[in-house]
This record gives sequence, structure tokens and C-alpha cells, in this order.
Amino acid sequence: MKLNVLFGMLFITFHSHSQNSVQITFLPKFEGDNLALNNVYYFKNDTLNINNFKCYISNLIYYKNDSIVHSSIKKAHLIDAADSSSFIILENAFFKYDKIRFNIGVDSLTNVSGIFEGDLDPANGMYWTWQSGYINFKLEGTSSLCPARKNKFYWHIGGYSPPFNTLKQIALKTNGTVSIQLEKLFEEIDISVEYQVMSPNDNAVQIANKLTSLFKTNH
Amino acid sequence: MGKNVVILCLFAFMMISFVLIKDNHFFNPPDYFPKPVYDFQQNPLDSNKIELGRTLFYDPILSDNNTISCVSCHSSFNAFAHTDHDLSHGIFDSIGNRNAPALFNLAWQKAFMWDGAINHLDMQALAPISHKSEMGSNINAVIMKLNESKEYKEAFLNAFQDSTISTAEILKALSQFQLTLVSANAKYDRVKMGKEVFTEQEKNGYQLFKKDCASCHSEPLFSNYNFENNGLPIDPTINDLGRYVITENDNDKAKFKVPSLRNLSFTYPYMHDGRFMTLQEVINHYTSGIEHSETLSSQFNESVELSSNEKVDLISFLLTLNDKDFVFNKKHQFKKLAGQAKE
Repeated sequence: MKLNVLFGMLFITFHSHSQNSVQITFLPKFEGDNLALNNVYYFKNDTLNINNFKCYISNLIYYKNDSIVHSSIKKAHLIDAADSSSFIILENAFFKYDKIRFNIGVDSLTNVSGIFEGDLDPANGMYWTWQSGYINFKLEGTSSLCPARKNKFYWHIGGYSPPFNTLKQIALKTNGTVSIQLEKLFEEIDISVEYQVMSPNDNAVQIANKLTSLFKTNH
Repeated sequence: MGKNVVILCLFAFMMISFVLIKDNHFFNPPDYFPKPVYDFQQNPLDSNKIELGRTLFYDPILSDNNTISCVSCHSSFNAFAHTDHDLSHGIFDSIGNRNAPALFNLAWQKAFMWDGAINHLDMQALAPISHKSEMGSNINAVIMKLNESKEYKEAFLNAFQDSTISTAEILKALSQFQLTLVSANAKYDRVKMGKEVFTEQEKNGYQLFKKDCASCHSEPLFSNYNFENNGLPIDPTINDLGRYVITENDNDKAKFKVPSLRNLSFTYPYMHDGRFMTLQEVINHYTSGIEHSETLSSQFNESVELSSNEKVDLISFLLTLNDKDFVFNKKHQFKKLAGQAKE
């Protein structure tokens, strides 16, 4: 009888765990609010509009007390502001974690290994066709300070080989939600000068160096 | 125990030979060719996939207005190069800024395009599909058009067991066809295999080739596929800086990928911008036209000196690199999809 109860309890725990999967959420934000595409933002002395934001999260590893508890099976995950279901990364396993480590972008090995499906499909608009390589981070919109035609700015940040390697690694303490504070980029980049970055070059590396500071948790 | 090991070994041996035989059927380079760069394990050759790639290669559906196919600039009869034009042209009669290179022995190449912009054969087709002066389309539009075709849906299903056509399937099929474009049956190869002999003139030419050309155009592929500056003055109407455009490294200024010398007679005009129409002009460039610059390949520190007789001998050797079996191979020519209606 006691044994039955024990087995029953075990089953319940086991069962509930197998029902569970662990998830982590990456939320694109602008000044604390969830990013709204095509919304008008009045930021400092600028009038801004973001109409496209995509970014790769890759080689995601979970830690508990500084030991690895899980490595994401998925090679790379594409966050797309136009699709809120892409904000959530689901792991088909159960574990507890207090820290994550990941790359912002796609690593060099993946960049030189030919064609992939799913999030890495070049049809997602995150691949340069004229010069092989993934775009790690893409932000497009308009800014009243941008001198380009129709005030359009394009930040397509990519490049996998030195000296223009734009992949960034980051580790954060977290219990499940990471904010991507996009307004920080507009604080750090002079958009009246840097408004068209669309190839692996020095400008891309400069912007890539600022990307880790966008990712924040409540910890 | 011992018996089991023997049986296991036998079984493994059979499996390996089976795989080898299967691959050899489609890809059978001579044994003096080096190991291919392409990883066939990621995209094992299969007759349905090769045939699908061949159909796609010949189909203008890849271009925005269904007028330009891969063959528009890569004709089988020219060893898949573009002749008659110095600069190749694409959709809406747009003229590009380079001469389309010949396509063969691609399995041994580590980078594609004259400047190495593309790092993997699978990714290559995305470039012409998307280029506004080539096919002016994009992969999403191509997928949509292919998905509307009953014949293509069937062909992709047969090849990939998948009714939804994807980027990966399109690109892998195109790679498969292009991987079968192996040129290895020129007179040079037959001599190498002991089936023929060079004439005296060809022999002399071969010696001159080994002295003056082979450091970049290395045997048996007749290219080391590196990037080199061969002393061409930069054409001010194009200002093409080659590899530098990709790397922004000053050491790469005016460097271009060394092309193979195989099938030369079929692939004129020569150089990245098609500036030379004849082999004589090419050889005269090397003997008397080299422009010195900081990135000039060190091979040209000493000038190339050839008498007019030697030039003739050298050309007679170069002509032994023409592979008619490759150029006129029916398996590389146009073929309709099984279900495609007659036009």
C-alpha cells in the first residue's frame, strides 16, 4: 500500500515533469514597453519608428550554480519582432537554471557549412546573397535625425570572419525573461552619421560591440 | 567471437563498397585528382536530385520575369562559361561587371565567384537569383513559383520525399547537378593515364607550362583556386578591386580567383572582365603586359620570357586541356521534367 502511494507520487512528479518544458523569453523593448512595430517613438530629440527587428540567438546554454544543466538542441533561434511566438524558446527537457549563456548571431562554423533549414533558412531575410554570411542583428526604420532618403536607416549587422567578426557572446543571470532594450542603440549610435550599415565592415563591428548591452534581465 | 568479428568486418566492407560504388556512379574523378572540398555526406548524390538540379539549372523560372536561367551565362557548350561578351548580361539586358566564369570541377573549390564572395557551393545560386542585373528575383519568389508547378512538386517529392519545396532543397539539387560537372577527360588526362602521348610540341609546351604557369595553375585541376594579382592594369571604367571588395584588406587589392586552364578554347574571352579574346593576347600579357603594384603576385618578380616559338608550343600544350567529352556530354544538356508538357 505504502509502496503504491510512493509509486503514485513518483508517477505524478515524473508525469508533471515530462509535461513540462522549460522556456525562456526574449522580449524586444523600447524604453520599458514592449516594442511596437511602426509605432512613433519620441526619444530624446528624435522621432523614431522601427518597422523591422530580427536577431539570432544561438548556442544557448543553461546553468545552475555555474554548472551546465542544459544545452539547447536548436543551433540558432530567430527572434522576429513581427512574430511574438518567436520570442519564446522552448526546451524539450526539464531542469532549473539561474544563468544562461548565448551568442548574439550565428557562429562562423555555421556560416561556412552550407545550407540549413528552419530559422537558418536564407528565405528568412537574414542572409546576404551577394556575399555569403548571416545577418546577426537587423534593425530598420525611420528617424527624424537620419539624413537618408525618406529618413530610412538600415542596421544589418553581420560578418563572421576577422577582422569583421560581429558575433557576440553574453552570459546573464535570469529566471526566464530577457529584455532587449532597443532604445540603448539610439543612445549609443549617432544616427545622423551611422544610418546605413549593410555589410561586414568596421561600422558593423562598432555596432556589434554595443549589442551585448541591450540584453538585460531583472537580476 | 573471432567469427563474429570477421562477419562484422565483411559486412562493414560491403556497406562501404556499396556506398563507394553508389557515389562513383555519379562522381568519378580520376585517382590523381585531390580529395574534394565539398562534403558529400551533407548532400549525398542521388539521380533524382541531380536530374532535378539539372532541370532547375536550365529553367528561367529562377528569374523575376522568367527570361534568365543559369544557362544564360553558363552554357554547357562553353564549359558552362559565357562567351562573346566581355561582361556578362542578365535580366532586362542589364550588363554586369564581370565575365561569368566556367563551371566544372566545383567539388574542389573552396570559394566561388571571381572574388570568393560565396563560401559554399550550396549558397552560390542565391547570388545570381537575387542580383538585380542577373536574375532580379529572390528565393521566396522562386519557392512560390515552384510550389505552383505540379511537375516541380512531383519532382521535389521524388527527390526529397517532401511536397513543400524549400530553400535547402532547391540549393541542394542545384549543387548536386553542378557537382557532376567533372572535367577530367582532356588529352592531358589521357596522357596522364597512359592512353595517349604528347606531340613534341606539346611536350615542349608542358615544360614551359611547368616553369612559368604551374605555380598558380597547378595540376591536375590547373588552378590552386587562390586569389592572385596577375598584373592586369585596373580598367578605370569598372574599377574592380576583386577580393578587396569582400575583405577590405589592402593586401587583397586587385586579386581575383585563379581560374582553371581546362577547356580554354571554349571559355573565351579571358580574365575577370573578359578583356582578352585570344590565348595569344593572354600570353602576351604575361610576357610584356604585367603592371607592377603592391599586391602583384611574387611569381612575377621575375619576368616571364618566351620566344615566339615557345609561345606556340605553350599554346599547343594548353589546347590539350580541352575536354570535348565534357563540353558535349549529353547528361549536362537540357532535359525537360518527366511531367512537363511539350512546348
